[in-house]
Amino acid sequence: MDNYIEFKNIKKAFIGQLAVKNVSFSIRKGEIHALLGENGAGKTTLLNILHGLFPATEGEIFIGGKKVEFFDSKDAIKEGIAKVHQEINLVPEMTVMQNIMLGDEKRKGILLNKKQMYQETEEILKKLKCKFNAKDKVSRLNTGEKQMLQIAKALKGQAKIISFDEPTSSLSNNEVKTLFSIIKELKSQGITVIYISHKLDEIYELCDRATIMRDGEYINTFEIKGLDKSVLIKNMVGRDVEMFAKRQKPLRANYLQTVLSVEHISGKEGYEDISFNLYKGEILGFFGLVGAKRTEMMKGIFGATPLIQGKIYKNNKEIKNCSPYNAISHSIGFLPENRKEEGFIKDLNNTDNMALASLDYFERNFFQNKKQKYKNALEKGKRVGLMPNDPDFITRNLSGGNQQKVIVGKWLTTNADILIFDEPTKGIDVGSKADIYAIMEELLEEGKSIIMISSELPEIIGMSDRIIVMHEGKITGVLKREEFNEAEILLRAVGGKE
Amino acid sequence: MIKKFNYKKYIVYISFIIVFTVFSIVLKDKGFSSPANLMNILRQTSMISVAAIGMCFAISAGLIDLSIGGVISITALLVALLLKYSISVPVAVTAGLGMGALCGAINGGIVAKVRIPSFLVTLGTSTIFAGASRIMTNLEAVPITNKVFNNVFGSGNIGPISSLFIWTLIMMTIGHIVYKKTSFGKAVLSVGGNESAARYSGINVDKTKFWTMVICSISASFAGIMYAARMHGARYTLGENDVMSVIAAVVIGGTSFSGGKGTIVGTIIGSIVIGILNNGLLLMGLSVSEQMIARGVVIIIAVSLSLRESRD
Repeated sequence: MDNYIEFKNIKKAFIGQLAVKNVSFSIRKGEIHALLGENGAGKTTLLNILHGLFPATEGEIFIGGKKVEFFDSKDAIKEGIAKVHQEINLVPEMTVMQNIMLGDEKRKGILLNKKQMYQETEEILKKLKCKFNAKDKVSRLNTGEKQMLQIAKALKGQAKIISFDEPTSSLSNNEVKTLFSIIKELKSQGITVIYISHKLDEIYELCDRATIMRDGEYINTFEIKGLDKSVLIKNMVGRDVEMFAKRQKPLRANYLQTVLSVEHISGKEGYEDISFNLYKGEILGFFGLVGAKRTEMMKGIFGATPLIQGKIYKNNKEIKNCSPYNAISHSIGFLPENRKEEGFIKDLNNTDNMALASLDYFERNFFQNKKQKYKNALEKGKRVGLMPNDPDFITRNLSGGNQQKVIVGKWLTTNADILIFDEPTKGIDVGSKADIYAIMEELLEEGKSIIMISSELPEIIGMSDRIIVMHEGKITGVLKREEFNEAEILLRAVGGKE
Repeated sequence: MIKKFNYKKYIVYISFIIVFTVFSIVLKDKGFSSPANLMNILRQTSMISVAAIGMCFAISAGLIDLSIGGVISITALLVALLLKYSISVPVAVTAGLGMGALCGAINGGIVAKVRIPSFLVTLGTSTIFAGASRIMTNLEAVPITNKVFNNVFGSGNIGPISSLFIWTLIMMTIGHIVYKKTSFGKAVLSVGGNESAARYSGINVDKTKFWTMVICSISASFAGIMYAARMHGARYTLGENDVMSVIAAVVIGGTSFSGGKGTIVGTIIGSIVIGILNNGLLLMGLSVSEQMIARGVVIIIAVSLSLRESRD
C-alpha cells in the first residue's frame, strides 16, 4: 500500500532551463496529497509529466511498483490517471452526456450508441451525487456544476489517480464545500488524489500529506495533521513571510478628505443604488460572495459598462460620460480580476504592456518614445519586484504572480490617484502576494487611495481601513476597522443582516 | 537564457529565398533572374504590396477587409474620370484617396458602431463597391492620357527604378513607422491581441477599429491610383481578384491571422513572394487555369508554415 506513485530523480528541461530538478518522492495509495509551492515551483510541470503531456528529460515514474512511461495523455488515461483541468474546458452547446463522452463515443456499428452512453453517464452522475441530468445543456449549468462535470468527465475512465490543479479558484464557498465532499468521497473509494492549491486552509481541511517544491526542487513532505502553518509557508518561500495580509505601516486615512464619491449608482448587471465615499489614504475593502456584483459595480464606476443611474464625483468634480479612457484621464486605475482576459496583451512585451494605459504620456510629436518607455518598464519592474525584470520579456511567458506585477506596473505608470484592485492576489504565490501588499501600502504613503475587492477574509480584514460588504448587488454593511469581525462580515455577506 | 532559433519568425524570408532560388534554377533559360524581369516583378507586385500594408493593419487589429477590390476599381475609375474632365492631378489623386477614406469610413463605421464582425461587413460592402464601380461608367473603360499622372504614379522610372516601386518603398516606410512607433500602432496591436484588456487600459477600441478600416481602404485606393497610372486607364475589373493575394501576402509575411502581432516589412516581402510566384508560373508556360491551381497550392503551404507558430 505504501508508496503507490513514486517519482525517481525526475528532471525536466525547457529550452535549456531546468523547470524540475531531480525530484524524488512518493505518494501513498488512497491519500489526498497536496503539492505546494510558489508559482513557477514546478508543480504543474511535474503533474503534466505524470499525465503524459510531455516526457521527463530524465528520471522514472513507478505506479504500484511498475515503471510507467507515457507518450501522450491517452496513455495516462488508460492507466487510470485522470486530471481535472484548472480552466473549465467544456463545449457549452452540447449536453452533459455529449461532453462526458466527447472523444470516446460508444458505437453500435457505425452509429452512436446513445442508450449505452446515457446509461454510463447517469451512473457517473449518480456516483458523484450531481444535481443535473445527462440531457442538460452545459451552457445552462452554473460554474460549480460545470466543475462537477469536469470531475465526472475525468472519472469516466475508471480513474485510480486523479489530480486537481487549483480547482477552487472560481468557485463560491458552497461549491467549494460540495467539491470537498466529493474529493473525500473519492478518497473513500480508494482513489488517490493529488491536489494543487495556494490556499492553505483548503490543504488543512482536505489533505493527508503535503509535498513542497521550490524553484523546481523537492523540499520536503509533511504529514498535515498537527503541522504548524508557518512551517509550511517557510518551506514554500524559503524565507519568513507574514502569514496573512497585515498592515505593516501606520494607518493614514484622512476621513475629512473625500477623493471619490459614488452616489446611488445602478447598472443592468444587477447592482442597485450603491453609494459610498472613498477617503484619501485609505484602503476600502469590498467583501461579498459570488453573485454580490462587486466586480460588475466597479466596472460601472470605471466606465467599462454603462450605468443606468447615479453619479460619480472625483475630488468633488462629476465624472461624466464615463469610459475607461475618461476614468484614466481622471486618474483612476483598475486592476481587473481576470488577468488574462482583461489585464494584458499576450503578444506584447513588458515595456509595451506597462505603457499601455499611458500611450498619450509617452507620445512625442506623434511618436512613441521607446527609450523612455523602456526606462519606465525597468524602473516599475524593479519597484514591483518583477522576476525577471526584463522589459523585453513577453508578458504572457511570465508566471501568474509576475503577470500581475506587470499589470500593477501599468497602473503605477499612469500615476493614478485612485486604484481599484479587483482580487489582486487571486491565484498568485505567497511571495508575490507579500510584494503586492507592500506596494499597496507604499501607494497610500504617496497619498493615493485604494479600493480592494477580495473574497478572502484574512486578506480583506488584514489590509482594509474600512470594509463594505455586499450581498446580491446591494450594500449590506460598512464596517470600520475596530468593528472587523469575521462572523459579522460573513453574516452580512450572506444577507443575514442589513 | 538560451533562445531557441525560431524559424517561423523568419519564414517569410526563407520562403522568399526558396521560391526565388527554385525559379532561378528552373527558369534559367527563360530569363527569370534577368534584371529586367526582376524589375518587372517588382512593378507587377507594387499594387498588391501597397494594399497589403493597409491589410496588415486590419489583420493586426483582429479585423479583415474583403472589400478592397471594389475600393481599388472605384478609385481608379474616379481618378480616370476626373482626369478626363481635365481636373488637375493633385486634385484628382486627393479625390481618389478621399473616396478610399469614404469607403473605409463606411466599413469602419458599421464595424465600430453596429458591432458586426468586419468579415461580414466587408463581405457585404465588397459587392456594393464592386457594383458601384460598374455603374460609374456603365462597364466602360476610361483611358488616361495625362502623361504626368501616368509617369509619376505608374509607368515612369527614375533611373532604372520604376516609380511604382518607389511608391511602394515610401508607403512601406510610412506604414512601418506608424505601425511600430506611434500610439495608434500600439492601439491596433493591443485591440487585436486582447480587446478587453485594451479597453480596460483606456484605449478607445471603437475609434481604433474605425481608423484601421479607413487606413486599409485608403491604402487600397492608393493601389487603385497606381493601377490606373500603370494601365493608362481604369476599368471596373481592376483589383477584382487581388483580395486573396493581399491577405495571403500579409499572412505569409508573418502577421498573426488572429491579430495582435504583425510586421509591415514582412508583408512587403510576402507580397513579393506572391509576385515571384505569379511571374515564375507564367514563365514556366502554365496556362492561366494551371497557374491558378499552382498558386493556390503554394499559398496554402506557405500560409500553413507561417501560421503554425500560433498553436503553442
